[in-house]
Amino acid sequence: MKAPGTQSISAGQLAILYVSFMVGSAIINVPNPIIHLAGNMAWLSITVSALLGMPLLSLVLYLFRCNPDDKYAAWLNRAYGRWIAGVLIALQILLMTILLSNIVLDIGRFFTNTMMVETPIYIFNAITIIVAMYTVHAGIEVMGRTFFLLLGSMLLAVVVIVFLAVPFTRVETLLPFFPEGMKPVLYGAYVSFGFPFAELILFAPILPFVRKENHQPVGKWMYVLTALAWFLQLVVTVISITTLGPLAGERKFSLYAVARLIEIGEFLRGLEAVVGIALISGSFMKAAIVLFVLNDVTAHFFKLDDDKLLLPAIALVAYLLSMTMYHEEAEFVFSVQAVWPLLILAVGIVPLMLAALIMMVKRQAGEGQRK
Amino acid sequence: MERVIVMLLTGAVLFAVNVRRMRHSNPRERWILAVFGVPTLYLGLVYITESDWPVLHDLANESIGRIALLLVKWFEQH
Repeated sequence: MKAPGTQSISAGQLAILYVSFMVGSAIINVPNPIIHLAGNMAWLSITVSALLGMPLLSLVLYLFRCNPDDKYAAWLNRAYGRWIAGVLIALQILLMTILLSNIVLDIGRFFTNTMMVETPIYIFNAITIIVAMYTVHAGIEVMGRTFFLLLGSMLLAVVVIVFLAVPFTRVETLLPFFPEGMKPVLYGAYVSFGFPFAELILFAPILPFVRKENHQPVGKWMYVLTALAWFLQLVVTVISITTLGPLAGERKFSLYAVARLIEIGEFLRGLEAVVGIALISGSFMKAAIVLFVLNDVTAHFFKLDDDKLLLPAIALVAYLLSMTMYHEEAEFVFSVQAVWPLLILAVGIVPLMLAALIMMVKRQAGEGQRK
Repeated sequence: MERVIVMLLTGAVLFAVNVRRMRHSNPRERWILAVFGVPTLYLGLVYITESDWPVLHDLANESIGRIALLLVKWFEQH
C-alpha cells in the first residue's frame, strides 16, 4: 500500500468509481419514490433532473481545470479565503455524514424489508460500515480495481432483470401523459435531482486523485457517464412502470419487485435473491465512496499528516447516526425526498457555484492585468 | 445491554485497524481524535438509551426542513 496522500487512479478507475457513485444506490432506490410522486411521467422527471445535473458537472470540471494540482479544500480556499472556506467545508462534512448514514441505513432497510425481515437492522448497518471502512482503508486504487467486479455484477443483474421482464411489460401503462398536470413531474424532478444528480458535486474531491497524464479525457468521459447513469435509471423506471403498472409507486425497491415477477418455466425461480445482493452491492459501493470522500475532506480540513487517522471515528459516528436519526419510516422518507434536495442545494451547490464565479472573475481580472 | 454490546463490538472492529496509527500520532492529532469522541459519546448515549435527543438530521429539519415543507406542500397542490 502506498503512503497516504500519494495514491492516484487512472481515468478508467475514475469512470468505475463515478458510475458506482451515480448509479450505485439510485438504481434500486430512485424508481419507487419518483413513480409514487410523478406517476407514469416519472421518466420525464428523471430526464429533467439529469439535464439539470449537466451544468453542475460543468461547474465541477471548471473548478478542477482551474486547480488541477490542488485538493478540493484548496479550491474553496482560493475562492473564498481560509475562514469562509473552513465554514463551508465544515458544513459539507456534516452534509456528507448525513448522506453516508442514509446510505448505510438504506442498505439495512433493504434487507429487513425484503430478504431477511427478522434480522435486526443493526447487523446490516454494522457490517456495511465495517466493510466500507476497511475498503476505504485499503485505498482508492484498490477501490477502483475491486469495484470493477462489483459494478459489473450489478450492471449484469440490471440487464438480466430488464431483459427477462420484457415479456411482462404493458406499454399502455405509460399513458396518459400528464394526467395530473406538471406539478407531480416537477416534484419528481426535485427529488431525483437531489438524489442522485446533485450529489455529483460531492464526487469533486476525487478528481485530484486522477493521474496528471489522464486529466485530458476526464471531462468528456464524465459527461458520457452521467448520460449513462440517466439512461440506466430511465430504463429501470420505465420497466418498473410497464411491468408493475399502478403498483409501481407503492412497491419499495422497484427493481427487486420486478425481479420477483420473473419465472421461467419450472426451473428459473427465486432469481430475486441473487439479483438483490448484486443490486445492493451498488449501495455498498456508494457508501464506500462517500466514506472515502468524507475522510479525505475531513483529514485536509484538520490538516492531518496521516489521512486515515480519523477514518474509524468517522465510520463509527456514521453508524451511530444511521441507528439514531430516524424513529419512523415517514421521517426517513421526508428527509430524503423533501429536505435532502434543498440541503444539498444550499450547502453543496450554491457555494460551489459562487466559487466558480469568483474563480472566473479572478482569472479574467488576471488576464486583463497581463494585457 | 444488547445495544451496548453491538456498539462496543462495532467500535472495536473499526478501531482495530488504527491502533498502530494512534501510537505513532502526534499530540495534536490525538486531540483531534479526542474531539471526535464527543459526538460519538453523545450518539452512543442516544442509541443506548433510545432517547429522543436531537441529532444531525433534526438540525437540518429545523432549518432547511421548514422551507422544504412549504415547497413540498406547493408541489402537492393540484
